[in-house]
Amino acid sequence: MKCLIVEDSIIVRRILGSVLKKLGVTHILEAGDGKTAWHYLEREPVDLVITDWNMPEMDGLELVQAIRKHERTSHIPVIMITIRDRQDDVMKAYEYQVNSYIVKPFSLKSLKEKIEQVIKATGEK
Amino acid sequence: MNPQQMERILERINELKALFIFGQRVIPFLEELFGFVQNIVPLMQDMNRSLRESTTKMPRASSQLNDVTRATELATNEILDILDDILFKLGEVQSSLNQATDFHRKINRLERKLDRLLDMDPETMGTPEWIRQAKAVQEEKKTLLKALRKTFTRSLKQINDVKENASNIMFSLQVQDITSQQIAAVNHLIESVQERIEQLLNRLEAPVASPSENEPVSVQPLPFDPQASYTRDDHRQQTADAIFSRSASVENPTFLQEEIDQLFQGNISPDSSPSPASNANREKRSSGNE
Repeated sequence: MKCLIVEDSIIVRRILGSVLKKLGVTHILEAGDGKTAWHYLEREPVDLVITDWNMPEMDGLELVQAIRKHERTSHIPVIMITIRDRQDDVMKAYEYQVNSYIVKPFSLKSLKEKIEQVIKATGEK
Repeated sequence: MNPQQMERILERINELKALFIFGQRVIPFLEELFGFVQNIVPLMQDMNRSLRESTTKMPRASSQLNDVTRATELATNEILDILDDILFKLGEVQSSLNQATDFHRKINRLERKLDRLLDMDPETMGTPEWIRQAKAVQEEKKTLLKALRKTFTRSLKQINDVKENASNIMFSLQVQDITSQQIAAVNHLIESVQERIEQLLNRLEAPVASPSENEPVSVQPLPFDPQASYTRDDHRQQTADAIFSRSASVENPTFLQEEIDQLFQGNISPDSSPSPASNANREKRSSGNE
């Protein structure tokens, strides 16, 4: 399984990478902004995208929009991890077809649960 | 009219002439003064606006800096609590290992005792006393092995807890991401105030040397959420989950605003199912009857 972490904070990238490794994800790609992430996605297939919302260059929502717009990437499950907890933000993420939404600061338990749920749902399809 | 009176009249006329000459000289100055006042009024208004803006922005910046302090304090306390627990558990593991070493020593002693019993002459072996002693040694060894296993199981659990605690420390370090957004918000406020003051000083024709003229400073503006906060409030995650699961559970994912508002106000539990009434409303919406 190949997972792409898109997050401008190095610390959060490390946390996510560590949890993914524990969950058995062997191939992890990392990007510090949406634009770099989109370059990765254009080049190679990815099974799961975990993205932040507030990022330089291209934000998380713009990235999700690009992912859903292109046929080659539209099927990729996306988990949004963000500080934004206002109702219009959560609704917007849902409307943009984000698969799961995690509010920062997140716990190990909630992160594991969400990743496992999305991986399971992807496997069932 | 005598010459004296004539002279006084001429004096008066000269005084009036001097007054007119003075008036002619003073009028441009007065015009200049009026012009200056006309120019200064918008500038003063601008200054007033700038000061008002700065005075509203500064308390906001101050409040955001307080949020940074609170967030780091909370995270530091979390980490310290976890470290306390780790130290306590490591202490317990240490005493368990000491206990295990003691058990191991006792087991070795019992094995040596058993060896001695087995090395006895064949006549003694098999006597009731020999059997009693051998059985007692075996029994004691069994009890010690059981206690040893229990100690190891307990230690393994504690080591597992320590591992989990170490992970939790990692998660508390998310505070860096959150405080960096809070600080970015403060930077944004300070920069906007600075920009306003610079504009004002330029209008006053007293431009200040920007730091960039002397030492180049390249500050990459960071994207931020001005309301970023570090809190362990589970309700935020539960509410987001509820929106996702409720939206996915109905055919028409459109939410009733009233329902969302209630969720965010905490009036209804995030894990409760959508009300039949709201489902009926949704159906109405999808069939275009609304």
